[in-house]
Amino acid sequence: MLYNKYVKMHTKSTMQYRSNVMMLSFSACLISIGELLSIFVLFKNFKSVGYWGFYETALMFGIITAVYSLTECFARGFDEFPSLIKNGDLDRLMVRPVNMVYQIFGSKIEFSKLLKACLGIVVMIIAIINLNIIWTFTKILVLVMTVICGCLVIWGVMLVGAGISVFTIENLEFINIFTNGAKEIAYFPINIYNKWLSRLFTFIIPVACFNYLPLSYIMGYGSLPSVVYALSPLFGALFLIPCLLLFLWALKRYQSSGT
Amino acid sequence: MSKIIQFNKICKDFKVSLKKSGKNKFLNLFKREHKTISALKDVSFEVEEGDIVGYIGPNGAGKSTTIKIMSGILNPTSGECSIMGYTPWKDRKQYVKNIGVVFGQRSQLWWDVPIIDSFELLKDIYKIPTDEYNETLNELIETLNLKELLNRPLRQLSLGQKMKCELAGSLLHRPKILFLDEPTIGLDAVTKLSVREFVKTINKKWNTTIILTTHDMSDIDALTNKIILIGRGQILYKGSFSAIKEKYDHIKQIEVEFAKPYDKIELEGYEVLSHNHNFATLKNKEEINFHTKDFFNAISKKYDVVDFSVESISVDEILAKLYTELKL
Amino acid sequence: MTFKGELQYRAKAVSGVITQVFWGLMYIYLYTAFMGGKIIEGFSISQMISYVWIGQAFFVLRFADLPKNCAKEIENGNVCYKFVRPVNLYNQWFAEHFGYKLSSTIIRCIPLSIVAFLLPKGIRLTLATSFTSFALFVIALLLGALITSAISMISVFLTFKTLSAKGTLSIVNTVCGVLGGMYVPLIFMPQGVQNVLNYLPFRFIMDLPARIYIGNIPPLEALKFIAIAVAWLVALIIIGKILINKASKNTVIQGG
Repeated sequence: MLYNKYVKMHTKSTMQYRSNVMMLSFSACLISIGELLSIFVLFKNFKSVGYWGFYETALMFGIITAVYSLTECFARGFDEFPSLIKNGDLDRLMVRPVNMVYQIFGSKIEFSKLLKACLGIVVMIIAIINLNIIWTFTKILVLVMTVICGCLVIWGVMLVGAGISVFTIENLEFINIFTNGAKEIAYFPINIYNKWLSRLFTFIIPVACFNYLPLSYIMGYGSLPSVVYALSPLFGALFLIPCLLLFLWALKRYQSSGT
Repeated sequence: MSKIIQFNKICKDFKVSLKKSGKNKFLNLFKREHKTISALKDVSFEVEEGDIVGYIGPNGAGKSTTIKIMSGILNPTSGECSIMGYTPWKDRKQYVKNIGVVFGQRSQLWWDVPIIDSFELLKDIYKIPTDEYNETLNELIETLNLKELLNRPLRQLSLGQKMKCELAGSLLHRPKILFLDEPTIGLDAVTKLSVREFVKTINKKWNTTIILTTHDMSDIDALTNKIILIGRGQILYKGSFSAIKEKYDHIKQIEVEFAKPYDKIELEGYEVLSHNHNFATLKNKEEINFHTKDFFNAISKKYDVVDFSVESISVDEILAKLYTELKL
Repeated sequence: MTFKGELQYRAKAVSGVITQVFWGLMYIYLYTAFMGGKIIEGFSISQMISYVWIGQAFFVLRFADLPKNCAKEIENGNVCYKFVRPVNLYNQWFAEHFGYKLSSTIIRCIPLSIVAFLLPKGIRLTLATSFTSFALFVIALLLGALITSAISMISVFLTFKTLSAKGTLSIVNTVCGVLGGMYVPLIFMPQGVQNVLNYLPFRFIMDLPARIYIGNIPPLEALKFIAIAVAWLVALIIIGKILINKASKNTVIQGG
């Protein structure tokens, strides 16, 4: 399969810069550890916020870290779309008889994010061990769906950013709100923020779908019928559709420069 | 012979945003003025299957824009274009299977992975059957002498070696048309020759139609007689290159050796291009026709001539003349 | 020259201000949610809000960075040509970096503080408690910027060792961030940890100026800390000079 070849190529290319990749992997993990430490400090001082204690939040943190790292690793081409336009690689992709979205996935794989993804999973596991959850099949299913749909939502955000950059060329900083901002927001249960922030990140950019909503189901918290919480990740998957359409629309309007 | 490329009144306008240097910089963030630049104006031409066509013109004339329209990356503002029955920017995925593109200094190969791996990836991208791939690859290795290069990454190759690999990479799927954007730029003389030789071979062997843009007129001289000359977005000339050459054929450049050094050389009807001790280079003025005998009689009357040689002016000079004549 | 170049990026600055207002609000709501459960002496919600806004307004000063082109030159080895020139590289880089930090901060902090002052009451940046504390705040802030520049110079040396600018900087900035109270305010940390971190150089970058501004640290105590900051600054500059000197010798001996 073509994608396997892309993975093979990126692996070979990455292996040329082994020490650099290790350095980047390590430093990315260090940032995460710093963030987790901050969360720990906050809970150490304030004990809890609403229902949520340290381990619940750590589980959320683990999910977010894993989800973001995986998406940044495999959908890097969308994340760095402006540079794809600037250095002319997009033109190159366009003269090939393969679907553009497929090719953009293949254009960049950032292996240095994988270690951080592992770290996220480890944090998830540690949190789960400390939480005394009574696991059922649906709970496991919801957890898996949460991770998958989380990746889709973040890919969707990247697609919107990439789509906008077709017209602006330059990456605009405020897109950062929806990528990194959404990430930091989602380290904590979104319902602790004020109304407009939690609405923004529930209904417009459905970060809540892989944050406190499915966890409310797993933990047994919350006042809504549990089926709402259980199905919330799927709402995130729906978010991807308009994002993908927007991106494809923008891509159609892409015009190479004249030189 | 069938017409493989048909360009019919293609126009392309670019919108360029103007940056005002006025006081109201802050307002400019929200309001921008646009200016339309037309890069191509009613460009029409046809190319026959199996031809090599030189697409020439000064910088900014619209060469790259044309190539990009032909390869489906840009869509024109108006006009029609049919290549092998496809409209490039509409039937992109189907169409690009049939073309190969070498963009000047941009590579399609991977920087730090052995060349052969990049080729294997291209095999999958173009879905080339293994037998066909092996056969084509062997042919390319042989004609381009690539064997030694294949296991090295692109970053270790010289400019000439890179270009050879680029060419091979864009031919693996045996395209019917090959677009070459400045294929010999920056290459040394020997590599230039071998690249040209290769282009010719491919053209003959596979009947590949080749469109190339270049600044180097010796490329055109060596490869083709069919040129399209473009300037300021308009086609200025299409047809045979020799016809242009003939037009200027009566202008000669003469190198003269004198028996002794002269302070000043002057000859009616001739221009002195350079003069150094007992050597001088002269050129006849355009309004007179050059005759060897007349020239010899005239010059030996005034000076003591030991030897002289006559040369036609170079193609580059012809082009420079054309550009000035057309005020490009 | 660096100053002028930076001014041209106004469009980016507008987008930047929007982003930072967002980040500021996010932290304010987050800390408000936490602080609802426990009252901290000398750190009311409105003080916390100003603390967050100061952090956002002078956001650029928080980060250690390499001088322009420096990362590339170290990674590809061209930096050795710089060592051949008869200028003091440390001073040149330091001045360049400090100028850059200062100019980009000014561009950011003015619009952001205006916006933060104009916000509705519960989330607004309030004026400094007194003129004295404002003056001390400005001094502490400048010292903070100088300390960041000194740490940046040490990062240059570390980049020589690791040959990865991006990796080195993110490690340095994480360490500074965690220990300097930029990930989570020092005041939220356990008292024992605070007692140590208060005297390390990292908290002088942002935590000290912000806390002087909100009046959490009274002027007299502030003066004491400013003196410590000066001492740290001198120490960091000396360390940086020694390290860069060492790096330059190694590079020259290797022949680049």
